[in-house]
Amino acid sequence: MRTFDRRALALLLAGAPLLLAWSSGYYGQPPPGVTRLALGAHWVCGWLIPLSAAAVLAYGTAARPVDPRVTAAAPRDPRERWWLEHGLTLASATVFSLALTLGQASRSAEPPLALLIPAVSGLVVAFCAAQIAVTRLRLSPGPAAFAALAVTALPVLAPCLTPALRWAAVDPTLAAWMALAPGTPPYPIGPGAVELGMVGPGAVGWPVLAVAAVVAARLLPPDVSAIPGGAHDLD
Amino acid sequence: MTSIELWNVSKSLGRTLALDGADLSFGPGLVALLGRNGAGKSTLLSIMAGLTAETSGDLHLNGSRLKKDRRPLRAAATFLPQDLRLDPATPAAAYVRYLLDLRKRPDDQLEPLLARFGLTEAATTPIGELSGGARQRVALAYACACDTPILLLDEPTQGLDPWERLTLMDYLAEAAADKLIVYSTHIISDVEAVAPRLVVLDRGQVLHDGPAGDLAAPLVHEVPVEDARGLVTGRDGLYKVRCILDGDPPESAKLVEPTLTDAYLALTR
Repeated sequence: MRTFDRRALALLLAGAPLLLAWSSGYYGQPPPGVTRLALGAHWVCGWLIPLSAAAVLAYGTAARPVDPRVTAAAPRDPRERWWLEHGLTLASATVFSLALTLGQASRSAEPPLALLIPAVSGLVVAFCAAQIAVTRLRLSPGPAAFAALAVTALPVLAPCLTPALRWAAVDPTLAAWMALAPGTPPYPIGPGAVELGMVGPGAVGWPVLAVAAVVAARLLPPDVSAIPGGAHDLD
Repeated sequence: MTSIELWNVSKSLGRTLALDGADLSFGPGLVALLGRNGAGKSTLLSIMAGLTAETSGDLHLNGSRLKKDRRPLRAAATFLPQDLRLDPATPAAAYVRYLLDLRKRPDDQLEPLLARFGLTEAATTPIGELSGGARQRVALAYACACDTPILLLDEPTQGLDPWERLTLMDYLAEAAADKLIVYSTHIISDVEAVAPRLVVLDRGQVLHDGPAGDLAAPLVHEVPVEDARGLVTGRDGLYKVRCILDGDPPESAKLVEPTLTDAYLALTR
């Protein structure tokens, strides 16, 4: 019995042109000394992978072909069950993302860890955002995908585009490069900004926050019957 | 013996009071739930299934007051919603087995139930290729195969033909010997046929709780159609309308025996 709606995979088509353009080095204005391939690899691993994972997982698991009222009647709480029920999907997404990341590292000559860390951090946030959107907020597929996408964009995208939040980026290298890239506003860059370490506070902090949110969503409320929602089903 | 008691149970859905101070007690047997759309039937069933928490009031399962944890209720009850989502790509029997496994229920009763509901041949057919009535029978087979002491069915006869309804009512009457079965319906004949107890809800309030025969029978008149202006229009005097009149009946009106439908309409109008 499949538990994931495969139609969600069609959402990947939306990111396909970006994947092609970025990973082929056809797009981007890297700072001096940085290749387009390297910049593209960071965009793919730091942005595209987490955002795609969030949208696809939220859509596919919200549209799963099992009635949520049956899932809720199962002995295990649906908020816990989501991880077990979609374990294979999560594992597949992880393996696919890691393979893509290593492929990008190989093509761009970037250190694999510099790409793996933001990809994994972003994936953790994406998984948690999708889980909360589907099981705690009980959103239907479209809104669930949108919510997970928006929540995941906050740590992976916003710090790269907002100078004041650069310290919180899951990919410090990308955030620094974007600040130095020609055509972008002259952000105040501190000495050694480009040499920022591969693991910034954001790469650890955001996944920790996301996991804490999942735990809080499981505990509040403790029983699934107290979760509001599904009122449209009642008369 | 399984019992559920609701003490002054209310449920608000936004600004709407879906259930308003319901005091009901259920033991083994068959109970029919009648009410207009929006009367609170599904809300009541959902609360009894442990899937929705009441806004106020108390719920008791087998004499023990339930706290916020509704797992005992969910383990004891199976709720079949009127629009159960089924996977169109999965064969019927395999899907029901998956649902039973999800709920950790044995599947030993599934084959006989599929046969009883006329689904033996359809068991290997993907659900999406089945007719609406067959899909409803698949859902019923799941609910009945769960074999929980409490069975809550929301409009289970929807989409069934008269023979299928008869089969279901036959099963429910048989199973009600040792289970609590509550089913909601809009079809009065389903109630007249088997349910010894009838609960009528309207705007979240319990209007009637007892045998169907105890519903206060209204005065019903049959009036030739030409004398019932404003109610219907007709071309000749062959047609008559049954009406519950507020004022004096016209001279042509004839007092007739009220039916359960008349009693229900009079109660909820």
